[in-house]
Amino acid sequence: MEDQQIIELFWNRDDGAIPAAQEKYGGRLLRLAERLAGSREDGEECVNDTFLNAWNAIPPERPRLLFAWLAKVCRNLAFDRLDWKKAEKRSGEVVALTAELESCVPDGLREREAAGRELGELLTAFLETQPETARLVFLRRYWYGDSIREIGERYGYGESKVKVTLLRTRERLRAYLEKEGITV
Amino acid sequence: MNGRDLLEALGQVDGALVEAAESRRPCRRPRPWLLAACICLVLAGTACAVGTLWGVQIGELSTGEEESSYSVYGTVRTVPDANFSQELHQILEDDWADWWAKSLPERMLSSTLPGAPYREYETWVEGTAFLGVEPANPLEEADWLERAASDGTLEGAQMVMKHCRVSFRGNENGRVETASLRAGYRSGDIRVTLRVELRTEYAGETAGDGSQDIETGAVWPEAVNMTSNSFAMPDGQAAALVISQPRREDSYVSIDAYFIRDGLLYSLDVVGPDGGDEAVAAVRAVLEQALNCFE
Repeated sequence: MEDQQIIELFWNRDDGAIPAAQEKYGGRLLRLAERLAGSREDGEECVNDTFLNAWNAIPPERPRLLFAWLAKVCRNLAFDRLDWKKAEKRSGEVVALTAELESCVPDGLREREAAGRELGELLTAFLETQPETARLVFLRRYWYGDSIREIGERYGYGESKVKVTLLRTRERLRAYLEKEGITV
Repeated sequence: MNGRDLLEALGQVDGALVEAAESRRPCRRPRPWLLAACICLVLAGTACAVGTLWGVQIGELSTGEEESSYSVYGTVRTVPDANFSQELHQILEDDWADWWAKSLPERMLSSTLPGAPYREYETWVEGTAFLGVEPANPLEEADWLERAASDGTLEGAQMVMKHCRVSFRGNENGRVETASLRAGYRSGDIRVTLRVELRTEYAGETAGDGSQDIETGAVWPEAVNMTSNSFAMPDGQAAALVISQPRREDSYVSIDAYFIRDGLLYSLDVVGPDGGDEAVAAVRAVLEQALNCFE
């Protein structure tokens, strides 16, 4: 079923909306959620909550890109599920991703409060200036949480190339944030 | 702000980018480097300092009975197409015009491809004058080196090349995509070649800061033993080294050094006859002396 048809089902409060979305995107969302939330059980709950969120939000919202919209909701739910301060066992993958991105934060901005939407816009602007290869590899790693090996298999790259591409892009991001941070 | 903030803020990036990362596969290009005629050095892993955009790193080293290879990754600055000489642009346009002037059968049977001419010169300075861009080469003034053909061979019946070769590639519109200068030298029976590669905005994807990520390396149709390490250049940057020796008898020792200078990728190849550890040491000594010229 096309995305617009699924959106219409939500818009018209049709009971078939969630099953249709589940069939088309449930698997991909579960992979994303399971990786970020750290367990299949938590991942499944995130996915279920994602579709519930969609049911409650559409209308009045009308996503332009359905998968991206659902994936964003799912990703945020996965992070919410991670209690950074109290969790006994945090998602190992998220810990690794966080550590890698730590190097992107310029020293001069460490004490500054991060404004989510503002930072998101900066990151969009930065990614749009990057070569396609670098942009896709970066998003697969830090948005989708893919492993180095998975990214290599996806694009037919060796692991070295993936690592170097990520390193270069992180370095550029740091330089970009340093430059933009002066005017933020 | 910390890494966690960045990780979560990525959730706010434009949905189109998120969708593209789920559905798009970047265009894969064939490895651009040519089959090495001589043993190329194995590149060693070179740590690139955090915050240093211009750098070289060694990738996979692969030794097989029928094929051996290594990869090099680097980030270089682009040289604007407009910086290259008018003469070079004209040669490029003429080269394409000659190609399309050929008949279809002639084009099909042609042993050369269009848009990839070269010119040869007696000196590096002449080569850069033609190019319109002047990458530095201190080896030209090194009195301990003897000038040779651009592939490192000496004058004589076998030599057909001049000291400096300028190769370039461009599209039908006369836009330069890549260019390289190569010069050859000798230190006794050890061959030395220095090559610098230039890339324009038409060569590939360019980041917002004007840099390009590049991949190069070497491939051999045989088993080649490779090791890698690095060398600290006088300016503090690290050159990535690959030491390679084919496993067959009567082979040679080769050390390739890759480094970035003024944002451009330089490769220094030093090749000597095989002869065990002494031969490796001799080649290494010449390599280091050459690298130390780059102050």
